[in-house]
Amino acid sequence: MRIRLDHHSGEPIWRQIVEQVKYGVASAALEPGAQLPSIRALAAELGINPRTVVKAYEELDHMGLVVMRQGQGVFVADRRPDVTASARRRLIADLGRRLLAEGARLGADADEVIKIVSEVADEMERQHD
Amino acid sequence: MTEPTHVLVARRLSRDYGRRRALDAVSLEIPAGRIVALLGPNGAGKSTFLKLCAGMIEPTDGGASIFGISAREAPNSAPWRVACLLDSHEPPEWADGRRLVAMQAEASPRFDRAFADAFCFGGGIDPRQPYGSLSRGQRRRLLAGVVLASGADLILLDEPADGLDTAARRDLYDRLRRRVNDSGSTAIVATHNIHDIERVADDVAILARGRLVLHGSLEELREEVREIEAPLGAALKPDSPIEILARRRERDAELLWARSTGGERAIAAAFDAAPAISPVGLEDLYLALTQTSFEEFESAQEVQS
Repeated sequence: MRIRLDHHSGEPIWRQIVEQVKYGVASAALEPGAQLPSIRALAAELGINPRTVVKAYEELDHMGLVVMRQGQGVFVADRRPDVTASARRRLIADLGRRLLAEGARLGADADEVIKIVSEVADEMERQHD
Repeated sequence: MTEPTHVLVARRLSRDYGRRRALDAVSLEIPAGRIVALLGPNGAGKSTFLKLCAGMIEPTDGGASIFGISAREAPNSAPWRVACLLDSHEPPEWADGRRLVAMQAEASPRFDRAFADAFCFGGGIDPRQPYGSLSRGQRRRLLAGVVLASGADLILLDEPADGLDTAARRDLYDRLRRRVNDSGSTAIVATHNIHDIERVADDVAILARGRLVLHGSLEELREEVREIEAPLGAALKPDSPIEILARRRERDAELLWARSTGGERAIAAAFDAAPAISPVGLEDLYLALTQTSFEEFESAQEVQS
């Protein structure tokens, strides 16, 4: 899995890493037990300070999505159904919050945003038929 | 002797040129292993700050220390620990790249020859070509490469990527990052190219009219600083735990840049009306801060006159 950073968005780099690994785990692009790059290797690959990688990995460890094993490396946690379900819910909830915030900026309330999302879902379903 | 935790400590560092105060009571501490972007409009004091750190000029007031030694003494007691590329630095026209690399190698016990050869003589630079016959970008690349190869603990760079093309700029900053990550050295980079430096810097220090208007880690600023668009007349609740860094009145709204350790939630809660809050990139924050202090300066001048 390749992590892509946006250095100019104002979004903390450590959080961008967390979000992308989270997405990788939830979408099964990262299998349980898969090894993530070492702190030094990921810092070198992304051209960032190793402390930023440490912060991201610690947060992922705290969330139960990865396991940091001293001297061995960082691994995607063995998938337990509840972890996956809650991680997926958190991920979608985050996207929902962002969508609602953008909607509010355009003057649309939650009901209108939800209505549009369900219309889009219907359209997409029809296209698949 | 224990190594001090900060590579550079400035205490009310000030410098006058004639009657003009170029640097005004700048105090900051820079820990090891960081890349610091030193930003500011022309004449803000960036080059003066770097020259004071390099011990090339005397402060008028206050002082700076490097590794616990006075910056003025450091070039004598530990010359190889600091390497700098300043805007005033120009080697003799006749000296070729090979000679410039050899001179730095002699002065630096930890000089990385392989690095110097790979970087300085990439980009079509012939080691035997006299310095005077190189293009602007080639000169900068050669001098920056020599500084990066020096193995110094503190690297001071004034517009190191000036005249370099996009690929060479990216290469220069990637290599700087690698050196800092691998050796734990520290770099201060003065530049106008905020877009390039935002990719690589850990910390930012912004000067305006000789004063330090912001210093902090970029990751912290990304967490804590937001741009706010509030309706005209919107009021801040008293005792809110937020710091207003800059504000600008537009025709139909007020723009504010605020900082809070409580992040977006604390900032939203500080206003009596719901404002539009968005994250802010370094370039916008820089403009907000430097333009505000410019306006303050202008109005202060009017009051005086």
